[in-house]
Amino acid sequence: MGDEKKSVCIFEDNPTIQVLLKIFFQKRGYLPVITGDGVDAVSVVRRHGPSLIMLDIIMPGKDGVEACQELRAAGVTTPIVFLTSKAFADDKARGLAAGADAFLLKPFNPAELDATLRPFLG
Amino acid sequence: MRLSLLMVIYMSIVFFWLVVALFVYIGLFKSYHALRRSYRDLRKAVYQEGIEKVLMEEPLEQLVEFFRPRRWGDLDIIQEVLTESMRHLKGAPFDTLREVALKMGLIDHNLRRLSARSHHERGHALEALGLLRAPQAIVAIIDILDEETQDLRIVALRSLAAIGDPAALPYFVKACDGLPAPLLMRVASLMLEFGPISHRSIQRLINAHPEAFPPRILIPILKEIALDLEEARAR
Repeated sequence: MGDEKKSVCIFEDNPTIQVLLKIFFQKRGYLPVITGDGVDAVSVVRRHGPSLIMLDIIMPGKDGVEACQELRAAGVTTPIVFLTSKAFADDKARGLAAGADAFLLKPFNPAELDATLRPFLG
Repeated sequence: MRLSLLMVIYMSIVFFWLVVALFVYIGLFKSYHALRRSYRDLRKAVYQEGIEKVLMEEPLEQLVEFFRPRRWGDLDIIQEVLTESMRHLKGAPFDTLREVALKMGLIDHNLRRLSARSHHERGHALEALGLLRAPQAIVAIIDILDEETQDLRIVALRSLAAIGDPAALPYFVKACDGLPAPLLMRVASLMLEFGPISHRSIQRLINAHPEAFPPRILIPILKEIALDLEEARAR
């Protein structure tokens, strides 16, 4: 039980970014749980009880901001970080208003991502 | 009457076999592409492990060795794996992936592909040269700008913007001749990536095509220019 890894829920539809984030979190000792859309965000998060939630804004089915609002409305207090492309930088205010804790742009530098996530991952 | 009935029967048989042949052709075409796709996915999975090695900061020589093509036709698959990751990364891993690509001779490979007959292949080559930040490709890209279709001209300009040599700026204005208004706006935003040095060329572009820059398009461009100037002043 003590060996159980902490998990991170990643909602991202791009397969390359899924792989990059998976490697990033595995390297830091976390178990990445990857989902390609935000449709069942609340149930996925409830099932895995992650230490952090990573959300993309543009996803099939349900966009990241909507998923974030639903998570907060469902009482999820886990830190939420948006990782989205530069073209949607204007969505930052929308994302933060929906209850996100940080907002990062793609393409990303793993070192910067590490520095941004450290306060949330402890 | 009997002759025309025979004609109808004959034509129906011909038509039937034509339809059968068409379905067989479509079936074979789809199977070929499905097989090709699954083969490429399998080969990609082999090289995708290399991305993990890049993020684990393994030495460059080992990475180059890992990404060496093991089968005929693998070079394009390796390039796809490298450029797909480069598109989403920056900083040290991006630089490492670029180094690997340079050591594998991918710049020359893509320069050769610029003269490919397939529009699709030329587009991939242009995009790769931009991602590889290949200054040696600038002349070759400028050379083909006039001959390319509108969509490939935009890909070429995006690559020139990614390479970032301001010497290419005058060609951005020239390449806009004949482009529709929505694409001119995209060209202007690509030019902004060069920073304050692009402002005069953007002004020339706007003066040459005022109809493509109504106030709702012009205002965000002016805001970007103001931010550029503010950043330059702060530096």
